[in-house]
Amino acid sequence: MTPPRLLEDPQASALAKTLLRAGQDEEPSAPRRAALAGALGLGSLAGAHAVSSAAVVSSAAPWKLAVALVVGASLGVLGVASWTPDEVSLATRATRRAKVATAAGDGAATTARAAVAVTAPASLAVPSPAATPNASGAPTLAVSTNGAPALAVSTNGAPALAVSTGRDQRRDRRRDASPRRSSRAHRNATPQGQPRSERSRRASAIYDDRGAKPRRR
Amino acid sequence: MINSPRRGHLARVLASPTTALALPPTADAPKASAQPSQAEARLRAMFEQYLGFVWRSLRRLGVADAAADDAAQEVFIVATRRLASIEVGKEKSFLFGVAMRVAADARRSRTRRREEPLDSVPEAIDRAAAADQMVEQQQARALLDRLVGELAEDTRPVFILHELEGLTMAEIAVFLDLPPGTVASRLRRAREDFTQRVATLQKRSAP
Repeated sequence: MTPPRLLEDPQASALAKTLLRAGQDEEPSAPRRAALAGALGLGSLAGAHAVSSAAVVSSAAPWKLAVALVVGASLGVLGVASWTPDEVSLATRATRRAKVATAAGDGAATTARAAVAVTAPASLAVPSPAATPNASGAPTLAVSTNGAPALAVSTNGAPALAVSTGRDQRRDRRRDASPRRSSRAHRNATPQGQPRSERSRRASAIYDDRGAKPRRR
Repeated sequence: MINSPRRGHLARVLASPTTALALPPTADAPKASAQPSQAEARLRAMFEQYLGFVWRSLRRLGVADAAADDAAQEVFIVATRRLASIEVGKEKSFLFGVAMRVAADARRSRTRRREEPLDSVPEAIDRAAAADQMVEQQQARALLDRLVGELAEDTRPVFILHELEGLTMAEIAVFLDLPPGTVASRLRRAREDFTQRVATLQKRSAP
């Protein structure tokens, strides 16, 4: 008859049981198993290791795809945020010009007719152009604010703070009617799009329509 | 560290026509191509099922942790060479017999070279375990190896197979090809010896 093992013997000491239990649990680690299998040429075991490595690589592919998607989405958001529609750029240009005019000292005369330019979509109820003294093709609501800056709201969701004067709007209408040119060609061109001759530029450069000598360009 | 020249040894042995796994002369060609795969499948099953047993046996029979890889590889190389002569159902006893001889060779060679085992260096996988538990386990195993190593040469395999691997005396008799009475007497002597050494150790460590 087989005697009970020391591990199951109640009379055995605790130290003996601890030692035997420690020896019973010993196993080669997984890397050592894989190395042994590879050394013995057991293809499937070594292959299983290789397959697991390949699985790790393939599982990394969706991760890379996710990163690429996030980067692409971020770039797209940045692009949308930096894109300026024509209405907003128009208001920005008008603001810049108003600031320059105010700094030049003739702000009191020119900004008396400041207006709030609200570009509305066709579906929105818009005041009639006749109600606006500076009405143009684009529906704008002109409100005199005595030169105070007004809020220009673009209906594409990008709010912009802008001050628009009647004179600026006229100039913008002329500019929008002409085809786009580079800045240098634009400075040296007539509203009809034809380049000025050197003589006519000299003649017109003496005084501008405000009666002030223009700055050198 | 596993010896690199031995890498792929099984594949070469299985492919070699002069190996013990070679077919009998009456076998036809389709069977000849199927035979190596059957042998490989059997060896793979042995490897997966008994590697832990071989590993523990080698360690308890006195092979250092650093040399256990090479020793286990040696055991399975011998099994590969003699696979055809291993009876079905007796793979475990065959592997244990080979492990005993390989462990004896390793002990002799270590005594000759006066090498110190590198068992104090933990393997990388153990670093993730809790430090206290790892130290306790290693200390316990080192102490167990010392106590088992001090047992008599003839009683040690019986003690290992019964106390650590849980085999019955009848199974051990078949394993070691010994009479059951011899197994019983050796096991009794080994248990008495081990218990006495543990008690001595406890007396020494007691304040």
